[in-house]
Amino acid sequence: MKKNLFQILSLILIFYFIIGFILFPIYNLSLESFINLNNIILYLSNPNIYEAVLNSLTLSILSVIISLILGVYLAYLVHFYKIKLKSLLTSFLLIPIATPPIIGTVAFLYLVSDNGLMFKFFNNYLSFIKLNPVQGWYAILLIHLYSFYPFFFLFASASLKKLDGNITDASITLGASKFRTFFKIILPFLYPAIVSSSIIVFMASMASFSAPFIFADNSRFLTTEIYNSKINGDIQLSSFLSVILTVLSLVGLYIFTKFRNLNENTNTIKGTVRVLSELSKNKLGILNKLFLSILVLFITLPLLTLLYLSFIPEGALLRNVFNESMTLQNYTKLFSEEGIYKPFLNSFYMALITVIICLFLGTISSLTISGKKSFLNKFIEVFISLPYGIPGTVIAIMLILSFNSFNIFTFSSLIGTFLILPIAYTIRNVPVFTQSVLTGIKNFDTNLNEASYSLGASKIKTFFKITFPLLLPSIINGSLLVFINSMGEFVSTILLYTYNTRTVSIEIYSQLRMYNTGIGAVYGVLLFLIVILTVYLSRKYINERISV
Amino acid sequence: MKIINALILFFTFIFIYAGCVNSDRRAVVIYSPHGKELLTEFEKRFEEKHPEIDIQWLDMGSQEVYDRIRNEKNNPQADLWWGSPSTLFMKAEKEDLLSEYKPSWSDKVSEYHKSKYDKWYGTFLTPEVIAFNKNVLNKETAPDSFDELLTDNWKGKIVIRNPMASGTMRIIYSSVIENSVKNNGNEEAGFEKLKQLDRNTNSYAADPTQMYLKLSSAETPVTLWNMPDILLQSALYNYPFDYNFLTPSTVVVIDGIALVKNSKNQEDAKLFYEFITSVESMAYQANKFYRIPSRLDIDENLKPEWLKKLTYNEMKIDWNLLSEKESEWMKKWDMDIKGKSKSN
Repeated sequence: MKKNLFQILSLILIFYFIIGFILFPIYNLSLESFINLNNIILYLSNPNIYEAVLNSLTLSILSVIISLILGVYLAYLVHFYKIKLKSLLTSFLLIPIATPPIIGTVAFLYLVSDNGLMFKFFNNYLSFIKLNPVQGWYAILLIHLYSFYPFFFLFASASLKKLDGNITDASITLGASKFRTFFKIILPFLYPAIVSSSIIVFMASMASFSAPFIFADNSRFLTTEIYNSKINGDIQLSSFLSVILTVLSLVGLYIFTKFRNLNENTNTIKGTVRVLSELSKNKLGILNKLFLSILVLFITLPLLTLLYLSFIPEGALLRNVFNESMTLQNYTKLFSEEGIYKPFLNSFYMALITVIICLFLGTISSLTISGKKSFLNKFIEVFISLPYGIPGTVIAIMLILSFNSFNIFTFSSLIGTFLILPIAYTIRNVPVFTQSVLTGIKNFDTNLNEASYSLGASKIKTFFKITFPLLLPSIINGSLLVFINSMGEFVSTILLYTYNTRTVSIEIYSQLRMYNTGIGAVYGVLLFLIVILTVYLSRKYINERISV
Repeated sequence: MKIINALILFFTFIFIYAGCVNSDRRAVVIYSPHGKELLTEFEKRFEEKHPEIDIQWLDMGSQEVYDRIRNEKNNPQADLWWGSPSTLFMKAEKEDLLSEYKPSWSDKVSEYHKSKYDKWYGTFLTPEVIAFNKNVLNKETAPDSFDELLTDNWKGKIVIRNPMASGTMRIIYSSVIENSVKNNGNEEAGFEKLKQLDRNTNSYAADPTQMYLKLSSAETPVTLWNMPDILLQSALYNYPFDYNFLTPSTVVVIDGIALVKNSKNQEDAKLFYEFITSVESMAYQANKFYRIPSRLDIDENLKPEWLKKLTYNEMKIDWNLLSEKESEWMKKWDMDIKGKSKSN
């Protein structure tokens, strides 16, 4: 098949991106980390590196396990039990997915640390209960649980909708207990969903920076060690650690993908599915009601803390917070300040640029990948999704090493410019976007394209009239994910921002550092609102315009 | 649907509008660890005099400033670097990251407090102290020497700002090693002391604020920090802090200032440089921010009471050695000592 000009240009752009912004930075990182082999021997004889590796792995595995238990159990409850206001509850349960990690971390800091609201509340009013502040590992795990269980919940819920009620009914009728039915029927059915969400949570935990950065105390994690050694000026060590972290993440990704492939075809269901079953007649017991109430508290309390603090005068955490009267002064102060829009604008523009680049690169690469199986397409598939396994901290380090002086890809130094941030976000988000579109393509009937060709439409016309509109829902979904990820990005931003390019997440962090609880909380609340509003509006748009 | 479209339009307009409001003032970018209070104050005072110039500052740890300036070497973002221990300026001078500039008061400062080649000048002398929570301790019961911090009395009672990112803590820790080299001819004794300090340290705080909060609790009433911050924080936020100078002698850091090489707005940066280091400004910094001026020509009448009464023994330190070895020592501390003695 001859390629037209459009396709050739697209291929050139994809290759420019893969070689210039993925392979070239990886090459520089590897070069830097092995630049002095004597140092490597020194590093390898140092127990701290092993400690950091062990901690990062343990943290990731624990995060997967606890989020799995909570998320799957919730999906089970929501699917099989009669619950009042079920759809409202479901949207509530998904809030943490749209909460940028830095907001979650800061909110938890103000809630559960030794100067947090919860601690103070118990000390002031319920002092007979001796409450310990949540610190270190517990705090990090709590934040991970908060941010990550929704993935399991979301994936498991979606799968359960395809579960044939006859099967569970048969199990119950044959005398199996609910417990047995859950473990013998439902859990195996959820296997693919569980593996897919485990991949996401494992990778996200390996790359997690905000929570360990603020709560880790004495424990070493790979991401924070990379940051610390970078700050200490030991570029080789931070590069070396980056390579280790990346390799571990990729190995993890590989193993999980193997697990997924082990069991790919068990769930094919033919014909219509009877969704309801005997199990769905269950009413919630008192324990489960209590459990759901506590969970709703767990989800809302951090955000309420942030909201509450945004109305309390500065420095209130040092005094008795609960005696303070609510005021709007933080909001008025923030909005009267010159240049207040700047961080919001920066975050917004960067997210927008990232979405646009991802939209372009992601769509054409997923169309290429899903085309004919050739070496070229396989190459694109592997390398465009590679950065999914590279944590944000590492991407920042790679970019600093690659683009802080003249280079053949961008010609001038990019460090300190506006563009470096959207580039960092793009590298990490193209795989996310591509994955979303590829899922759309899987359900797409290629006969429609053939029909269009045979009726005489050109390739370009077919693309815009047939392919694009049908893929639109997954394209919008992908863009939305990319937008959320970029709006609140903190991990690579903290190494790459400058005064003119500081984002909302950086502003939240600096206000925390300067102890402007009030203003910091206002920034957090506003960022949260922007993200939630975007998600809500686009969901609404998708539902109204395109009923799929 | 109409409402949604209207909302989208509304937000788009707000963003576009806000994007267009661009001031035509000339920007001077400052990287500084001096804290928002001092930075905001001098931003205001300077901009009143020079409304055509827009002072933009980023507040971060000294070590972060240095790391950034090095990263941005080929595309400098900051014009002025205000504040950080002289050891960092010495390193930056060696790496050719600084511009030469001789301020109008170059001869009004001790020769130990400036660069030989006018690359940086000292602005403040900052003594490091043992700070404590005065609700729990007083000047007599609180420790007053480094060795006392290492005794069992203070086990689990000390909070330390994460030393890797903090210029202050790096100097204090490195000075222990430097002393050990000077007195014993080796580094081991110094590292042994730091190991004991790590054993007694309850936690490492991610930023100064977290450290202040921990210090104001009864669990960890002791820390090592610099005197001006302790005085300023207690004055501003009613933190219950007091301090003891280290005996027999205390580390006194020279806080410096320098122009960043090849930056965009050197001329205006020089104006700000001169402004914040004028006699009036330094006296003001002493009065309001508890900073000890490096300039020797400040009139006694302008000095605040606390400064006139201030007495301490300055520790003799080989700053060249410290500047050269600091990174290596801190790396060793981070790798071999931090958190290692918890289990015993």
